[in-house]
Amino acid sequence: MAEPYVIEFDNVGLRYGQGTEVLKDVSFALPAGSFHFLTGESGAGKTSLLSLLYLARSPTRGSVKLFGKAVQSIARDDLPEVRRKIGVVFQDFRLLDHLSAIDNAALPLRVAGYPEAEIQKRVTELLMWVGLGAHLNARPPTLSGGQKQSVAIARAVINRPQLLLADEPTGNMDDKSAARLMRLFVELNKRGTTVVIATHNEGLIRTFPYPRIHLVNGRLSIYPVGYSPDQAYLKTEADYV
Amino acid sequence: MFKRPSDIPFARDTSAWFLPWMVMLMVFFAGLTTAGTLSLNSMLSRWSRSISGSLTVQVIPIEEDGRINKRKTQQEMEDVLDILRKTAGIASAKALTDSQMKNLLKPWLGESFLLEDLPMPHLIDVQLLPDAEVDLEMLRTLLAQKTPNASLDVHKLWLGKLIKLVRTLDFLASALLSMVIVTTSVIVIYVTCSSLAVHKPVIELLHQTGAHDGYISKQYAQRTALLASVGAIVGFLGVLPIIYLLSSVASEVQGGLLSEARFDAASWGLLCLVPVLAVVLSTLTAYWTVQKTLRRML
Repeated sequence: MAEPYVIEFDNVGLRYGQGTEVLKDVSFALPAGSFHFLTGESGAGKTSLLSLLYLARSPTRGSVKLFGKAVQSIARDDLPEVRRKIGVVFQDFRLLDHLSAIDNAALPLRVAGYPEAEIQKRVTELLMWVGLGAHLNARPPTLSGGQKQSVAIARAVINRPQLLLADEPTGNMDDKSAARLMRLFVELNKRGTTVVIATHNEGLIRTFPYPRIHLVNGRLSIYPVGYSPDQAYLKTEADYV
Repeated sequence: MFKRPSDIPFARDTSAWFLPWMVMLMVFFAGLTTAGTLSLNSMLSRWSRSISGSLTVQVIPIEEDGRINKRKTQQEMEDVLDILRKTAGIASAKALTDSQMKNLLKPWLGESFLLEDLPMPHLIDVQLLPDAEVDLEMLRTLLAQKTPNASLDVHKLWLGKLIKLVRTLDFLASALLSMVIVTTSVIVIYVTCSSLAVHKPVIELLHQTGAHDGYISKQYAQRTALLASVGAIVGFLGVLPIIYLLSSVASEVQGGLLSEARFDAASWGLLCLVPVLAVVLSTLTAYWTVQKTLRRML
């Protein structure tokens, strides 16, 4: 039976070192198969929230549950298995410059120990689909910003993750490419992947009718479809799509 | 088919460049020390085998009016042989012939000398029964009482001093080897930690994509094995001519200890293990260092 919630935050706080909290009393839960936008001003805590979701950090206080398990209680040796269920598109791509596009996109499959023939087949197909068929062996420094982003996205989705997190995934793309990419995310979501996309792109949010999680100074609000942060605050189970 | 590059861009690690040099020096010094230790022990074992079951009795020629009295000297030799043959634990006692004496002196005096011109003591070679417990103190006292010109030379005492010397050298060699091993391990740890710091973002990315620590450690181990192998091969090749040179010089030294210092097949086998062990040590140290360091990361 599928977990009712993929992500559960309960009164979560996060601070770096002795600084002030960048996330304060954050509580929310996202059901499996949901699609949310994560919005907020720069510095509101979007990237910090995402870093808790892809297990790069532990919360300073409160409880984070992923796939029904409290993150703090997951043994270190079991973390890779949890991380393999999560695909991440970083704002700065984080591609490895010394590897080709195909090797970059293949990383999640390689670390999971897939056979090389299957890796080549799956990665080639995906890179061709995202329009990089002519650049399979190109290294990131020779690719444009949009092409790099496509490689980063391919890497995030190649392992068919249960949870997809994207930090400004359309930031370097024209509208046509952004729409094409969003259709990929929607398609993955239809197949059961829970999607959280951090973005500033209001046009995108208007075009694709999904609820938004909004952060203001580290505090979180959830808005249903069609509502924006300047409208009434709502947070009920029925608001989840 | 070309080998896929490592996920970690090791080519940027400038600190790793001197690892092959360090391993080369380690193998060179460890190889020389091992070769020296093996040679000394082989020499000791040959000497021990050949003389531990024997004694020598020397009889000083008896002089009267400034001239050697051959008859009395011969009588004393007979008395000594009689005492020796009656002593429990002695298998045989034979006086060395003139030709045996000449052979013994040849390395020092050359071919052209007359034994009669030299005031040389007469020597009796005594072979002991295997595992015999000969009362050497009683034998020494008896010889002193009945044949005052005879004296007992127990090789065991001399061999004991030699064993002590070789054991001391063994200890020093072990200390030197330990120092070389510790130094190299520390350098491998330092190089690995530096590399982990340089590549922290890449390692975080690998972790994020679901890599186990073992996946990352294996890449470091492979890289270290490659660098260490280069150093180990060069270091080992550097040791070989030196061992050959020293063996040649030692074998030319006649009648001395060094000529007994041989390097047999087993010793060569042990020596070949030095570079292999250096590579294994470096590789395991790198693997262990990465594992320990990654344990501190989320």
